[in-house]
Amino acid sequence: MARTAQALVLVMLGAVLIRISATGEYLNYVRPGLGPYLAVAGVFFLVLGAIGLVRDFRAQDEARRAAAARRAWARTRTHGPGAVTTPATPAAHDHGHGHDEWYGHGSGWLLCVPLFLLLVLPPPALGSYAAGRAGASAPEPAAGATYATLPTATTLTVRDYAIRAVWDEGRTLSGHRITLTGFADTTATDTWYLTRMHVTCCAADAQAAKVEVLGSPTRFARGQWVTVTGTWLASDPDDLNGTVARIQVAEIRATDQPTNPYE
Amino acid sequence: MPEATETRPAGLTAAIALCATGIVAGLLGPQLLAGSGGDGALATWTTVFVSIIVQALPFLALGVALSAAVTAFIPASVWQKALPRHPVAAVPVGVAAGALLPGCECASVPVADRLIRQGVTPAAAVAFLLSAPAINPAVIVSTAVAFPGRPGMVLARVAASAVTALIVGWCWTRWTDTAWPSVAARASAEGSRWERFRLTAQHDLFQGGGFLILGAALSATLNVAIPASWVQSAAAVPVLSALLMGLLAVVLCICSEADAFVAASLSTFPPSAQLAFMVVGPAVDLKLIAMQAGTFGRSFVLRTAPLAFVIAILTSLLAGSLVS
Repeated sequence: MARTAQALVLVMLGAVLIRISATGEYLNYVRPGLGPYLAVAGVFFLVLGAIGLVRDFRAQDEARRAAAARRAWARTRTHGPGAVTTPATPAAHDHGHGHDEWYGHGSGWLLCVPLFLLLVLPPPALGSYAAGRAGASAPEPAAGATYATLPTATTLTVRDYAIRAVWDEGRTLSGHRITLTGFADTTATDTWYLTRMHVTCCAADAQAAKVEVLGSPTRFARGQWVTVTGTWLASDPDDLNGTVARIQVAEIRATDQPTNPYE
Repeated sequence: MPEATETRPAGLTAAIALCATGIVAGLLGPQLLAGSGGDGALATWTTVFVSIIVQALPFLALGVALSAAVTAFIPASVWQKALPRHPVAAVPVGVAAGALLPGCECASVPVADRLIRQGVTPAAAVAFLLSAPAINPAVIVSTAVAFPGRPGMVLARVAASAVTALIVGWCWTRWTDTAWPSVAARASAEGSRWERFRLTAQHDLFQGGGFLILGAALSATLNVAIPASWVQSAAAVPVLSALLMGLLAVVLCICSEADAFVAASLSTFPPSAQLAFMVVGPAVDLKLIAMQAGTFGRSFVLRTAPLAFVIAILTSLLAGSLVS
């Protein structure tokens, strides 16, 4: 891979990183805390590439000018009075090849793949397909986890709700009005789950948290984002040994995908 | 005009190829994604693939900045003074140095490469390569958060990773037949210090970056292809479960700051298997194997990866039996 081509890819890679960091698109892929680091990496790549481009073009320009001067000089030598017949050796030739040899990894071009994906068809946030691969059981809390008491009406993460509902048997939930936001994860039967993916570092480590929704007047399309307000319902002991969290709907409405699709 | 055809292709052909690829991708890509239902296996694959790369790039940037700084600003004599003369004694220093670099796997590969080029004994650089992503403040904190009230797990993880790095490093003191990259690379010799910094950073970025993409593609494929239920079914079998979790760590390429949370979530597994996941992951995974193959060559990977895997599993089993 030629050095100038690398510089070109670097500039674009830097610009894309700065863009996804500024627009918040990066939240589809990694945890929120990484945003500033992406911007810094983007600026680093951009500056590195820009300096590289300027230097390489200037060097090529100089080489071309030197070659032209040599040709002009050779012409006067071969055609003018006292002509010499040996042509000048083009020094620029060696120069160019030296770089290609040292920077020879073709694999560098692969960096264009994520670049184009992000530029022209940014991958969507993980949705119902990824969620459908996971079971409906509530994620298990760390051993010895404690549950703080909640205000009577509050918003929780789907994961937090599911853990409290199943592993704390709803002790901190019963009698409360809880609001949850996630997407509809429908199944072949009438059962459907309000689902949200939990991401620690990046989407590769995503884990689904699901809450079975009961008493919804509408059946939402698969993948539709929904906000539910409702009350805790004890898990069905026959459903996966009672590990499926449930919520009884008081109010439910469709909503847009939140800026951060994960929690 | 022979000179023009010799100097131009590098920049111009590249620009044309890039534009053409961009246009084709822009025209066909959305149709391809829509064809898979917008939220199907293909869309999930692209999301996981891009996520692994986006997650890795800031760490790769840190890594190449450090490796370039090592090359451009630190004279080789510093390493000769700082490290014990004998390779066997230099290995523990490499492990300890790794604990100070708060980076993921992607940062340590270019740094280790440049350390070797600067004359650091390869065994110590390998020890650094294995310990840097596994033992550092960020990883220790995240492990403690993932396993609250179980400091034994944090300790076991650090100990098992350190022992793995030590043993693999010491093995490399015996393997002296490998041809390492020459100490004085050509591009590092030209220009001012900043120019050397720039060229080294660019070179290392593309050397590691290309292979990072390959590793991410492979990992995303397996991530989408392996059903979660397969994993749970092996939880009860003692040694097999550790082996399986180790293999899973190789395949999934979860970065070392996040793997503790995934390991903790697989709570049906015994501690030894959870440890295997956290000790193998930072030492051997597809992304690392690809980057190491690109940087150090295939023979390096053929030796280091299997050895590190086996030792990581053994130390995890041992540490796990002490914890539980």
